[in-house]
Amino acid sequence: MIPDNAIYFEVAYAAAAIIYGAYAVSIWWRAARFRR
Amino acid sequence: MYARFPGNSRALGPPPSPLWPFDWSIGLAAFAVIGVAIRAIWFTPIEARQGPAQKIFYVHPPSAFVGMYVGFGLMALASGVYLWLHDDRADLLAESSGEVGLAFLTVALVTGPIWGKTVWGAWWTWDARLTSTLFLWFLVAGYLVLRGAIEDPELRARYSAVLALLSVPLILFIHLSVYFFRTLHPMPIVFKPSEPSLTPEMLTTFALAFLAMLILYIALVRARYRLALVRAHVEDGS
Repeated sequence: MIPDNAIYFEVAYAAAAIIYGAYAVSIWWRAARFRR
Repeated sequence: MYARFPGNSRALGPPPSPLWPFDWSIGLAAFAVIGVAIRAIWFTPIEARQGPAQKIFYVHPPSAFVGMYVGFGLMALASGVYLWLHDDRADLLAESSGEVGLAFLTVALVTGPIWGKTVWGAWWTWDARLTSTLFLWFLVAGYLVLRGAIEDPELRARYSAVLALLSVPLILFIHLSVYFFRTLHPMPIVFKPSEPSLTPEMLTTFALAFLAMLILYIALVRARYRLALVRAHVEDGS
Protein backbone atom coordinates (compact mmCIF):
# COMPACT_ATOMS: atom_id res chain seq x y z
CA MET A 1 0.00 0.00 0.00
CA ILE A 2 1.38 3.40 -1.00
CA PRO A 3 1.76 5.73 2.03
CA ASP A 4 -0.35 8.89 2.02
CA ASN A 5 2.36 11.51 2.58
CA ALA A 6 1.90 13.98 -0.29
CA ILE A 7 1.85 16.89 2.18
CA TYR A 8 5.59 16.42 2.76
CA PHE A 9 6.60 16.98 -0.86
CA GLU A 10 4.06 19.80 -1.19
CA VAL A 11 5.64 21.58 1.79
CA ALA A 12 9.15 20.90 0.43
CA TYR A 13 8.27 22.31 -3.01
CA ALA A 14 6.61 25.35 -1.43
CA ALA A 15 9.65 25.95 0.80
CA ALA A 16 12.00 25.71 -2.19
CA ALA A 17 9.84 28.15 -4.20
CA ILE A 18 9.79 30.62 -1.29
CA ILE A 19 13.57 30.47 -0.75
CA TYR A 20 14.47 30.83 -4.43
CA GLY A 21 11.82 33.52 -4.95
CA ALA A 22 12.89 35.47 -1.86
CA TYR A 23 16.52 35.30 -2.92
CA ALA A 24 15.72 36.61 -6.43
CA VAL A 25 13.70 39.45 -4.87
CA SER A 26 16.63 40.24 -2.55
CA ILE A 27 18.90 40.70 -5.59
CA TRP A 28 16.36 43.03 -7.20
CA TRP A 29 15.88 44.94 -3.93
CA ARG A 30 19.61 45.46 -3.36
CA ALA A 31 20.04 46.63 -6.96
CA ALA A 32 17.12 49.06 -6.52
CA ARG A 33 18.79 50.44 -3.39
CA PHE A 34 21.75 51.57 -5.49
CA ARG A 35 19.35 53.53 -7.70
CA ARG A 36 18.36 55.57 -4.65
CA MET B 1 46.24 42.69 -14.46
CA TYR B 2 42.92 44.06 -13.34
CA ALA B 3 43.67 44.92 -9.71
CA ARG B 4 41.18 47.53 -8.62
CA PHE B 5 42.34 50.61 -6.82
CA PRO B 6 40.26 53.69 -6.01
CA GLY B 7 39.14 55.28 -9.25
CA ASN B 8 40.30 52.31 -11.31
CA SER B 9 36.97 50.50 -11.69
CA ARG B 10 37.18 50.96 -15.48
CA ALA B 11 39.01 47.62 -15.43
CA LEU B 12 35.68 46.04 -14.53
CA GLY B 13 33.98 47.49 -17.58
CA PRO B 14 31.10 49.95 -17.72
CA PRO B 15 28.66 49.85 -14.78
CA PRO B 16 25.47 47.92 -15.59
CA SER B 17 22.05 49.42 -14.98
CA PRO B 18 21.12 48.98 -11.33
CA LEU B 19 17.41 49.21 -12.12
CA TRP B 20 16.86 45.64 -13.26
CA PRO B 21 19.69 43.15 -12.59
CA PHE B 22 18.02 40.21 -14.39
CA ASP B 23 18.13 39.31 -18.07
CA TRP B 24 16.41 36.80 -20.34
CA SER B 25 18.00 33.87 -18.51
CA ILE B 26 15.76 34.35 -15.44
CA GLY B 27 12.70 33.87 -17.68
CA LEU B 28 14.22 30.70 -19.12
CA ALA B 29 15.01 29.49 -15.58
CA ALA B 30 11.44 30.16 -14.37
CA PHE B 31 10.04 28.32 -17.39
CA ALA B 32 12.37 25.34 -16.81
CA VAL B 33 11.76 25.09 -13.06
CA ILE B 34 7.96 25.41 -13.33
CA GLY B 35 7.91 22.92 -16.22
CA VAL B 36 9.92 20.37 -14.26
CA ALA B 37 7.72 20.86 -11.18
CA ILE B 38 4.61 20.16 -13.28
CA ARG B 39 6.24 17.04 -14.75
CA ALA B 40 7.39 15.85 -11.32
CA ILE B 41 4.02 16.39 -9.63
CA TRP B 42 1.60 15.16 -12.28
CA PHE B 43 3.52 13.17 -14.90
CA THR B 44 6.07 11.14 -12.94
CA PRO B 45 5.05 7.88 -11.24
CA ILE B 46 4.83 7.64 -7.47
CA GLU B 47 7.46 5.46 -5.86
CA ALA B 48 5.57 2.56 -4.24
CA ARG B 49 7.54 2.21 -0.98
CA GLN B 50 8.14 5.87 -0.08
CA GLY B 51 4.93 7.28 -1.55
CA PRO B 52 4.48 10.79 -2.97
CA ALA B 53 7.08 12.21 -0.55
CA GLN B 54 9.75 10.64 -2.77
CA LYS B 55 9.08 13.49 -5.22
CA ILE B 56 11.28 15.62 -2.93
CA PHE B 57 14.00 13.76 -4.82
CA TYR B 58 13.49 16.14 -7.76
CA VAL B 59 14.37 19.23 -5.72
CA HIS B 60 16.68 18.10 -2.88
CA PRO B 61 19.62 16.39 -4.67
CA PRO B 62 19.70 18.84 -7.65
CA SER B 63 19.74 21.81 -5.25
CA ALA B 64 22.46 20.22 -3.11
CA PHE B 65 24.57 19.21 -6.09
CA VAL B 66 24.33 22.54 -7.91
CA GLY B 67 24.82 24.57 -4.73
CA MET B 68 27.73 22.60 -3.35
CA TYR B 69 29.68 21.32 -6.34
CA VAL B 70 28.87 23.98 -8.93
CA GLY B 71 28.24 27.03 -6.72
CA PHE B 72 30.94 26.55 -4.12
CA GLY B 73 33.25 24.88 -6.64
CA LEU B 74 33.16 27.97 -8.84
CA MET B 75 33.53 30.18 -5.76
CA ALA B 76 36.72 28.34 -4.81
CA LEU B 77 38.02 28.27 -8.40
CA ALA B 78 37.40 32.01 -8.91
CA SER B 79 39.02 32.72 -5.54
CA GLY B 80 42.12 30.81 -6.63
CA VAL B 81 42.16 32.79 -9.88
CA TYR B 82 41.90 36.03 -7.88
CA LEU B 83 44.84 35.11 -5.64
CA TRP B 84 46.86 34.23 -8.73
CA LEU B 85 45.98 37.07 -11.11
CA HIS B 86 44.47 39.73 -8.79
CA ASP B 87 41.65 40.14 -11.27
CA ASP B 88 38.72 41.82 -9.52
CA ARG B 89 36.23 40.17 -11.82
CA ALA B 90 37.25 36.80 -10.36
CA ASP B 91 36.61 38.15 -6.85
CA LEU B 92 33.15 39.39 -7.82
CA LEU B 93 32.36 36.07 -9.51
CA ALA B 94 33.44 34.18 -6.39
CA GLU B 95 31.18 36.35 -4.24
CA SER B 96 28.25 35.89 -6.63
CA SER B 97 28.66 32.14 -6.98
CA GLY B 98 29.12 31.67 -3.23
CA GLU B 99 25.98 33.60 -2.36
CA VAL B 100 23.83 31.85 -4.98
CA GLY B 101 25.30 28.48 -3.92
CA LEU B 102 24.31 29.26 -0.35
CA ALA B 103 20.69 29.79 -1.45
CA PHE B 104 20.78 26.39 -3.16
CA LEU B 105 22.33 24.69 -0.15
CA THR B 106 19.68 26.32 2.07
CA VAL B 107 16.99 24.68 -0.06
CA ALA B 108 18.81 21.35 0.26
CA LEU B 109 19.06 21.73 4.05
CA VAL B 110 15.37 22.63 4.34
CA THR B 111 13.96 19.96 2.01
CA GLY B 112 16.28 17.20 3.25
CA PRO B 113 14.81 17.04 6.78
CA ILE B 114 11.26 17.06 5.35
CA TRP B 115 12.18 14.01 3.27
CA GLY B 116 14.08 12.48 6.19
CA LYS B 117 11.01 12.70 8.43
CA THR B 118 9.05 10.48 6.04
CA VAL B 119 11.83 7.97 5.35
CA TRP B 120 13.83 7.86 8.60
CA GLY B 121 11.13 9.03 11.00
CA ALA B 122 13.39 11.87 12.15
CA TRP B 123 13.85 15.44 10.93
CA TRP B 124 17.59 15.46 11.55
CA THR B 125 20.42 13.21 12.63
CA TRP B 126 23.94 14.31 13.52
CA ASP B 127 25.65 11.92 11.15
CA ALA B 128 28.74 12.71 9.06
CA ARG B 129 26.96 13.78 5.84
CA LEU B 130 24.34 16.04 7.41
CA THR B 131 26.61 17.59 10.03
CA SER B 132 29.45 18.36 7.62
CA THR B 133 26.97 19.87 5.14
CA LEU B 134 25.67 22.13 7.91
CA PHE B 135 29.28 23.13 8.68
CA LEU B 136 29.78 24.01 5.01
CA TRP B 137 26.65 26.18 5.12
CA PHE B 138 28.10 28.07 8.12
CA LEU B 139 31.51 28.36 6.46
CA VAL B 140 30.07 30.02 3.34
CA ALA B 141 27.73 32.15 5.45
CA GLY B 142 30.85 33.26 7.36
CA TYR B 143 32.55 33.99 4.02
CA LEU B 144 29.72 36.37 3.10
CA VAL B 145 29.69 37.97 6.55
CA LEU B 146 33.47 38.50 6.27
CA ARG B 147 32.99 40.20 2.91
CA GLY B 148 30.40 42.50 4.43
CA ALA B 149 32.65 43.38 7.35
CA ILE B 150 35.77 44.50 5.44
CA GLU B 151 35.54 47.87 3.71
CA ASP B 152 38.85 47.81 1.84
CA PRO B 153 38.18 45.99 -1.49
CA GLU B 154 41.67 44.51 -1.78
CA LEU B 155 41.78 43.16 1.76
CA ARG B 156 38.23 41.88 1.44
CA ALA B 157 39.04 40.02 -1.77
CA ARG B 158 42.25 38.48 -0.41
CA TYR B 159 40.93 37.34 2.98
CA SER B 160 37.68 35.97 1.60
CA ALA B 161 39.50 34.14 -1.23
CA VAL B 162 41.56 32.24 1.34
CA LEU B 163 38.41 31.36 3.30
CA ALA B 164 36.68 30.23 0.10
CA LEU B 165 39.54 27.87 -0.71
CA LEU B 166 39.12 26.27 2.72
CA SER B 167 35.70 25.02 1.60
CA VAL B 168 37.31 22.65 -0.94
CA PRO B 169 38.47 19.95 1.53
CA LEU B 170 35.10 20.15 3.28
CA ILE B 171 33.25 19.62 -0.02
CA LEU B 172 35.44 16.57 -0.72
CA PHE B 173 34.79 15.27 2.80
CA ILE B 174 31.02 15.69 2.36
CA HIS B 175 31.15 13.84 -0.94
CA LEU B 176 33.07 10.91 0.53
CA SER B 177 31.33 10.86 3.93
CA VAL B 178 28.67 8.35 2.83
CA TYR B 179 31.43 5.90 1.87
CA PHE B 180 33.67 6.38 4.92
CA PHE B 181 31.10 6.56 7.71
CA ARG B 182 27.92 4.79 8.71
CA THR B 183 25.27 7.32 7.89
CA LEU B 184 21.51 7.40 7.42
CA HIS B 185 21.98 9.47 4.26
CA PRO B 186 21.83 7.13 1.26
CA MET B 187 24.66 6.65 -1.20
CA PRO B 188 24.20 8.10 -4.71
CA ILE B 189 21.52 6.29 -6.71
CA VAL B 190 22.13 8.16 -9.98
CA PHE B 191 25.74 9.38 -10.04
CA LYS B 192 27.40 6.00 -9.44
CA PRO B 193 29.43 3.54 -11.51
CA SER B 194 26.56 1.05 -11.96
CA GLU B 195 23.13 1.65 -13.52
CA PRO B 196 20.94 4.30 -11.82
CA SER B 197 18.39 2.76 -9.42
CA LEU B 198 15.42 4.55 -10.99
CA THR B 199 12.72 3.89 -13.57
CA PRO B 200 13.28 5.66 -16.92
CA GLU B 201 10.47 8.19 -16.21
CA MET B 202 11.96 9.08 -12.84
CA LEU B 203 15.45 9.30 -14.29
CA THR B 204 14.25 11.65 -17.06
CA THR B 205 12.47 13.90 -14.55
CA PHE B 206 15.57 13.93 -12.36
CA ALA B 207 17.81 14.85 -15.30
CA LEU B 208 15.45 17.66 -16.31
CA ALA B 209 15.28 18.88 -12.69
CA PHE B 210 19.07 18.92 -12.56
CA LEU B 211 19.21 20.91 -15.80
CA ALA B 212 16.52 23.35 -14.59
CA MET B 213 18.44 23.97 -11.35
CA LEU B 214 21.61 24.56 -13.34
CA ILE B 215 19.82 27.13 -15.53
CA LEU B 216 18.40 28.80 -12.39
CA TYR B 217 21.88 28.92 -10.86
CA ILE B 218 23.35 30.53 -13.99
CA ALA B 219 20.52 33.10 -14.18
CA LEU B 220 20.93 34.04 -10.50
CA VAL B 221 24.73 34.26 -10.73
CA ARG B 222 24.45 36.54 -13.78
CA ALA B 223 22.08 38.84 -11.86
CA ARG B 224 24.15 38.71 -8.68
CA TYR B 225 27.34 39.45 -10.63
CA ARG B 226 25.71 42.58 -12.11
CA LEU B 227 24.77 43.67 -8.60
CA ALA B 228 28.38 43.13 -7.48
CA LEU B 229 29.61 45.19 -10.44
CA VAL B 230 27.28 48.07 -9.56
CA ARG B 231 28.49 47.98 -5.97
CA ALA B 232 32.14 47.98 -7.08
CA HIS B 233 31.54 51.07 -9.21
CA VAL B 234 29.70 52.78 -6.34
CA GLU B 235 32.59 51.98 -3.96
CA ASP B 236 35.02 53.53 -6.42
CA GLY B 237 32.80 56.56 -6.85
CA SER B 238 32.65 56.12 -10.61
